[in-house]
Amino acid sequence: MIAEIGHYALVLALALALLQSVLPVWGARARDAALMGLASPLALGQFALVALSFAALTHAYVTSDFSLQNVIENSHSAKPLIYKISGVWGNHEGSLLLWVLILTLFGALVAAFGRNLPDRLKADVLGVQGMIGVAFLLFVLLTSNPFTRVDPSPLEGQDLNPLLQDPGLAIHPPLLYIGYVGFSMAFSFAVAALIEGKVDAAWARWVRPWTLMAWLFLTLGIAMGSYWAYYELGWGGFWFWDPVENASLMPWLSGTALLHSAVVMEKRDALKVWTILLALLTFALSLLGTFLVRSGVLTSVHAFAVDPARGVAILIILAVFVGGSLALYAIRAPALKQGGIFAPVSREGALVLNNLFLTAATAAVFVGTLYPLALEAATGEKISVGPPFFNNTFGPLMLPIMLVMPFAPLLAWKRGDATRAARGMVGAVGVAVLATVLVAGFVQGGPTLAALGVGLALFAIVGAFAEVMERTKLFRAPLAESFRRAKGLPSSSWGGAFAHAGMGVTLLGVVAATAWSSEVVLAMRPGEQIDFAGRQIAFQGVEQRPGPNYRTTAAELVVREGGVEVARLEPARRLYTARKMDLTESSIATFGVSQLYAAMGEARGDGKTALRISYKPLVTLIWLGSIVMAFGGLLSLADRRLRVGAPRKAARPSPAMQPAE
Amino acid sequence: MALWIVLALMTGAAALVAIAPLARRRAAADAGAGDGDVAVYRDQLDELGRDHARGLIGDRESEAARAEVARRLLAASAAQEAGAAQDSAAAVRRRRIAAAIALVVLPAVSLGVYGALGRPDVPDRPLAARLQAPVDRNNVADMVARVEAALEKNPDDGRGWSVVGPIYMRLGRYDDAAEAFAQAIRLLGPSGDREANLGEALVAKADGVVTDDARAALERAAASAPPSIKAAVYLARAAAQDGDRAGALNRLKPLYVQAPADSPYLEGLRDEFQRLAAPPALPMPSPEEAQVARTAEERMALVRGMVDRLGERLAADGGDVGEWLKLVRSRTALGDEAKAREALASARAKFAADPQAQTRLEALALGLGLEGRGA
Repeated sequence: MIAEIGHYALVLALALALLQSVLPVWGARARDAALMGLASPLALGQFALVALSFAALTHAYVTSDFSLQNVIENSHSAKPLIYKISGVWGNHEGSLLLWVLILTLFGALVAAFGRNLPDRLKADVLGVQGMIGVAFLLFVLLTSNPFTRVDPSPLEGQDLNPLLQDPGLAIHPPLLYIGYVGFSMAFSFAVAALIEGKVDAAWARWVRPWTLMAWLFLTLGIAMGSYWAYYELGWGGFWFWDPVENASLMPWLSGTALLHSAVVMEKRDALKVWTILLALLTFALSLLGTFLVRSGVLTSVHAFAVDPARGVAILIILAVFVGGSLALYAIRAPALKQGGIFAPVSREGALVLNNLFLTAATAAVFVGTLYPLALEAATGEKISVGPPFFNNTFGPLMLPIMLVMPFAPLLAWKRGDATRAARGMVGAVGVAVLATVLVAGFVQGGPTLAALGVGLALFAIVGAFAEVMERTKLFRAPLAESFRRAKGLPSSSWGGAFAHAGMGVTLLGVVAATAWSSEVVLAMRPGEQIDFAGRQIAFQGVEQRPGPNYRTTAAELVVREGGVEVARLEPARRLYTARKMDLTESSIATFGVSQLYAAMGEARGDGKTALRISYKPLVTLIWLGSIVMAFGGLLSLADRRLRVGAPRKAARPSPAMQPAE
Repeated sequence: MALWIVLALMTGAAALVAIAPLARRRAAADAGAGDGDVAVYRDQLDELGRDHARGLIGDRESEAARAEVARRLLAASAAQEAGAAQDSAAAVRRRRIAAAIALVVLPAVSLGVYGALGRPDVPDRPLAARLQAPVDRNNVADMVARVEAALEKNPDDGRGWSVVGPIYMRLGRYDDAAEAFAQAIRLLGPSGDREANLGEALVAKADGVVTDDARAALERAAASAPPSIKAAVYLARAAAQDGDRAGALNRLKPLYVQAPADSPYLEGLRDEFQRLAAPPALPMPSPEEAQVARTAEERMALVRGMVDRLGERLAADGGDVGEWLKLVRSRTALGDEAKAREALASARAKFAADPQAQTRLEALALGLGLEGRGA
């Protein structure tokens, strides 16, 4: 009965979403407060119903109710409880239900906390959210229904794909989806502004935190996915330019651009039309990501749903929402009032530069990801676009971003002073040059460019705090004075500094792990020992261990430094009995921020065990950097002040004033 | 029934969510176009004042920003026209239409879609409850799964293995059956029945061929006390497969002779004998002839005539052993036991020098109950 209640709740949610996408929008046109007032209760009701439905599906998983097709295909009674729960979204149907759940949750949040939103904006925004809800609820119910029943029911399930039975994969999809779906809020606000033909002041005030929140979860989600691929797929890479990774990177890049242009819009009332376009494109890229992963057009570990019917359905959703919103944009954008004006050298100017490069980088990733698909569809020829393409396009585009990034916060709004800003950067440049020289001089091996990379990363990290230093008058005023000023700084200033520094930290990790990693592949007998990366690694032997729904063969390695045991590594292979799948479980020992990584190969007949051991210096910085970035986002999100960009009084009238956009 | 009540309540609640706000009397105040903006700008001015007071921005910046916000505020205030008074008649009509839409869309969509996709007839089936529920004897798959789940937890349960083995046999899962019987022997010790079952499973697994493994198990069963009849039957079949009819007959005959009169195996053993004798089919009237013979008596008479003619022909020209076997079997089938014995005696005498024929004749006699158990 619970399963059927969940199913019915989903159907009812569809009915409410239909009403929500029609009645409030009609009310906004007719200026009828009662009809607009429907938006909030409908959004709340829709969320309650989808949450009920999700709870019912989770209940079926936890109790191993094998009368649901979805549970049969993705669960097993012997599976640990956490994977029974994560199995709910570890598959196509369940993950889409999670998508819808997050979508309706955001709708409900707008309904609950949007009291100070103008009524008409709120009605339109929730109306557009309702339309997205209708599309995805229909998609779930008609092509990917998790509540399909099987009668008579088998007594055992087929188990979840063992690759997905991992704590990383239990939290990666929810993080990523909160990010993807969070951009739907920016989209709904943008479409609402276009319908209305005007951008309210409340618009920017609302869009920025939503975008920030989506961005922060997407950052964590991508980092989580990257770390998962690093330790689970067994070959120790952290980014593969896999189309599915690119699918999440594209909304992240354009979302980052949106975040910055939304700042300009909130503070300076400029870049309105551009911000709206970015909001539309960012959600379009999120939908594209969903399409790429869910349609099965890509063959990769993520594409566990291979079903053309679903692909076509998502393509239709994509076409309707992207095509519809862009058409609306083409019609309505000229009607939007242009905003404030600013000089080329100003905070706004720097943010425009940021947007320029970020969108270009997005385009590069877009081409590299979709060109092979388009070519295959058009000519049937299969090509693969690999890391060299991305390194040669994406890399050079990120370089100027990293260079300009520390400068921007030092520039004033409206018109800035470049020399003054440059003076603030002296310290950062000094650190960067010193680091480059030291690395080039003292670190053996690796490409020469790597030293420059380290310099650039340190420049970004130190430079990120230049604005904070400037504003706290560090080293120029007594420490107590600086401390008092630091406490008084708005948390968004700290947030920006941390987010920018996080970029630098990640870059440092990428450069070091790429340039100075070392690796050995060898076959060892029990008792043998090797010297590797300044440590002695002894192979003790192989051990068999039973698990709940798998059997493990683990190799035992003892790592010693100067005869003292410092770590144990236990790379293993797991055989999952229900699916007869063999998985590599790598083992990692962390020394500071560097890691020793071991993976076990196929069993060999001659009593030897194949092992691959690598040393990856500073590799954890890649993910720590993302956490620092997300922390910066959180600080910025906590700053709920209203913002106005305070311009400096022009010393003399600037001749280079120009309108925004 | 409980399900339908819950679904009805849910629908009601959803309808309430959609309709209640329409019924509520709202202040007629129209949502003006610009009031949101004005509020935001006023808040911004307050914020600037606070920032300035805390020394976060300088005098000049504060002044410039104030000027800018004030400009925006003025523009927004100008844009804020007095909202046209609600045309209350039109508003009431709109709300009625909206309520009507809600009342039609909700049940139409939910009943339509759920009616097409839902399975209200299928109850929840959580695994724990299913394993504890009383066994449904008709649902073999369920029973097997229960026993399997129990054996997974306690693989040293010999009784479990011996219970599940025969079920596997019936389901055609011969591999699993052989494994189960082997486990039962390992845990409970060998016995005639268990060894025989193992042998049978191994034979079935090899598509009816008695492999060496199977033969070993069957021999052990046949040698146990009391000897396993099933094992003897399989060994006899194995002998027959090898062309050793006499050996097969010798294995089965003592069992047949010694079995008590009410033994359930007698019937099966007779079938084995007949199989061993491999007699040709009984004579049957051709379809044309059957057409003429309308009643059962007429058909019997027809068959009797055919059998009599066969007997006369064999008495005259001898014939081969197959024809004699056919005659004996036909006489028995017609209930003419005396004549059957007579034919059997003649055949034995005629083929006295042919051991193969003798074996087949003896097997048929045993299979038809003409000899053996003091008949």
